[in-house]
Amino acid sequence: MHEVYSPNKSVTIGGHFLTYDTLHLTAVSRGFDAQNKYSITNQSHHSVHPILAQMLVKIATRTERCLYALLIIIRPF
Amino acid sequence: MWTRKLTTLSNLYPTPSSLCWQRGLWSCSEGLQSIWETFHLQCPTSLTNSRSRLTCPVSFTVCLCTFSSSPWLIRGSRFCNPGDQLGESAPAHEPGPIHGQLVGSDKDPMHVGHQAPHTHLSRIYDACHSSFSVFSLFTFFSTSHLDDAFVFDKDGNLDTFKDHLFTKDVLSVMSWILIHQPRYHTFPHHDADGLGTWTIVKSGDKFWVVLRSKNFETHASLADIYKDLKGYHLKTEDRPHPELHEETIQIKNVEAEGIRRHAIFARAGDIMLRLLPFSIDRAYLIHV
Repeated sequence: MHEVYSPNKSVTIGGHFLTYDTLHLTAVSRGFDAQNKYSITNQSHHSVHPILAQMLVKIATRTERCLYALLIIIRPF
Repeated sequence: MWTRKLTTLSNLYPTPSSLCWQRGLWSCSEGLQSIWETFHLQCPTSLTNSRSRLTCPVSFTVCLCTFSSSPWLIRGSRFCNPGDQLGESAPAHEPGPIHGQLVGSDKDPMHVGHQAPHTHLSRIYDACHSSFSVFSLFTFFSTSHLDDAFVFDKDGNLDTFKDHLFTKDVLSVMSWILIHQPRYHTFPHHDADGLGTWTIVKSGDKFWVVLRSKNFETHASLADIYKDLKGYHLKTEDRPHPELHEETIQIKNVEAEGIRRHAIFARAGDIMLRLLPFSIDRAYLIHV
């Protein structure tokens, strides 16, 4: 949860992204939105679902993802 | 022991290859608790046409333990417009509605107290600058790098995707521009769809105020967290989608309701990475 305040004129650029390392919290957030009908969020993007699908596909199709999978395995927790 | 040295965040600003955060070189010389990442940024296409100035590569080093749920604030990039370079005195600020709502605490450097606006800004700036590592003290989920969530075909264009899986909404996810008038204030919210957020202040100043419930640390289940978060609901007429909601709950007294505000002050050129949608890292550990 956050709010933003601009004390003066401001121009800000930004964007959203997803990372494999934080998908567990993405799931928490999406779960909350689903249960509460997007009550405390500002804008929902319909493209997120296919992006998540592509992320899943890329784990299997991109060879460099093998390193990531290895890192998951060797984590001591 | 892992060793990589360079991560490239290429072309962050709107091109079809935006958000292609390429796997780079990183090092982890002291185990999972201390990962140093060096980011070599290519300046994004700017709002101005001053490409000669804005395309200068910027290199900086970040002590990246892991991605915690707290935001990252990276000071001193060159992603700012002329006249907004760091080191200049902060412009005069009028007291805004949020100044009176900030809660003070000497224990938390990110926790600012009631101060006059100019003192307030100065203290926040110093606290953020000197306690950068505070953002990432909690290092449970070791992260090797900023991972690329998805990659476009660099040789493609928007028309390539119009009949395919991705729509132009992808671009609105990847990049946007906020042009705010003075004293603009958003309602408390979290970014939708579990998305992380990166922002670069091009001009002016910004407060990001993170709301955190004290009860998050004692929740025993995810359901408790959800129940607590529902306390943030706004009045129906203030909600972005009022037709969807029936409850009418409003935050009237943040201190009485156990909500703490942590203010992060960003000036022109600062980069903020807010990687996680919710600040519930400790609560989440219970379920791991």
